[in-house]
Amino acid sequence: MPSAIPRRHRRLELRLTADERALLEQAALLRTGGDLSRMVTTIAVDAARAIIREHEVADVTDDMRKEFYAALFDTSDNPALAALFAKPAPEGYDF
Amino acid sequence: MPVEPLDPARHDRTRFACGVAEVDRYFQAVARQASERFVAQTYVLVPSSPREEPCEVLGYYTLVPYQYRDAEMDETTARALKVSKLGSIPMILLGQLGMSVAHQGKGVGAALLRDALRRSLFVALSIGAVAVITDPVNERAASFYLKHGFQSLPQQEPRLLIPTKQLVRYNPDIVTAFKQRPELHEVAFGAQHFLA
Repeated sequence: MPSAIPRRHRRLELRLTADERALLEQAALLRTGGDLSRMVTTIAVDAARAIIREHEVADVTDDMRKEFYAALFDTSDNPALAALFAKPAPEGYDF
Repeated sequence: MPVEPLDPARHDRTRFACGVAEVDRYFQAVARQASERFVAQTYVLVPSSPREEPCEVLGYYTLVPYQYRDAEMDETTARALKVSKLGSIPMILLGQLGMSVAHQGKGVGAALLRDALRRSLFVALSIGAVAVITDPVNERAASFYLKHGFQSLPQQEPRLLIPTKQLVRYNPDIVTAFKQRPELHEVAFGAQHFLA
């Protein structure tokens, strides 16, 4: 019967300071009996899922929605933006 | 060309330092890969007459396609934006903008921002984008963007926004060129001649 657990065969290299490495190893001992790879993977995958969920289902309240669409549909004058586009290019730079 | 797409062979990424570690790190370690994988495009400001190759980079910015998803968008808004079938709103994320420390305080950052916004307008005209948004890396960056016309969204801090319609208003030359200069749209065909 084939295993239901997908095989982890993709590598991801990390550059760490010695302190960061020691900290991760210490946590891995406590969490997984020293399996650093499994601990880092589990935590990183959970965090990645949370970030994606946050972006997809962003807890948009009605007030946030109102604020966002008000800004989006704002067609009033924007003097600061007008000034930015009216500014001459700085001297010595080839814009 | 003063502002050009990042080319790792011609632009020295290793010496760039704007004083904000994560902006430097993105340029040195991520920008090239993001560009090669068509996730984002980075543009660099180079000296008028570079003395060496790869040449020094004075500043850079990165543009990223972005979809704002609002699962509970009301019908009126969806109709106003004509996005009922898309379920999301196309935008451009100004992902990064940094000026080399040696060139800060001379108005070059503002000129670079102007370039980024004008390029964004061209992209918006080409494929659609209702706004340019950015998430400033710190307070100083937020002040810079607010000073130059970005609107704050206090409930979604640090996000800032400029509607494309405002870019249209202040850059009629780009809109006219887009509509009246067919050669701007012949890049794909023109490239064949350059490559032949």
